[in-house]
Amino acid sequence: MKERNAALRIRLKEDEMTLTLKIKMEDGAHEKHDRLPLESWSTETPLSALPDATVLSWLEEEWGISKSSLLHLGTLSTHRATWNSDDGSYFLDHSEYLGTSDFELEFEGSSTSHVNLVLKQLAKTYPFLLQNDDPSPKVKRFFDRKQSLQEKM
Amino acid sequence: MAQHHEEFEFEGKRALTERQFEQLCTEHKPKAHRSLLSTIIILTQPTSN
Repeated sequence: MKERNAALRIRLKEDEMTLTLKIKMEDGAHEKHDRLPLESWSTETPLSALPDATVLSWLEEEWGISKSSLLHLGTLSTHRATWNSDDGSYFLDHSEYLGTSDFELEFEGSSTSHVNLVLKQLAKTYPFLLQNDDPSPKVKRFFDRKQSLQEKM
Repeated sequence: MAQHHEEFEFEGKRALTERQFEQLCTEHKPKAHRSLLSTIIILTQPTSN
């Protein structure tokens, strides 16, 4: 899955549980979502007990990845705050995982060029946005942290 | 079968320090600051770990 620039996650948000396969494309990201019944899975439950979902069928049929071959690696929690403007939606994320935390600003727009333009405009008010990196995806940051902790052991 | 939908997202991100994060929170007063908690459970194949 890593080689395909894809990640599979279950997100618990208020009273929703969503299974998402996110595939990073050259221009944007394609997301496949399945809303699961709230009580259908918990971290103590084997992943083989996940209910039937379109995403899981797709993974098995298209990539040959069966539900039984999935492994739960850990949890990343995000405190998210949002504001909207005429340009689109802004998200401020504070993420905590494996004994560390980080912060990021995310903007969702209508196209890649739109997103770049809006962030460039915002950087006129907040010049630090020009100096700061485009962070790697949360899942990758989680993996990198896990790997670095394993190397220290 | 679970309820399914698909979407294509265009997003841009910038890493922030805690101080920059607090500055944006103060100036834009976003909704649900630190009150909305999402938990992401990372799944992968044992072979790709």
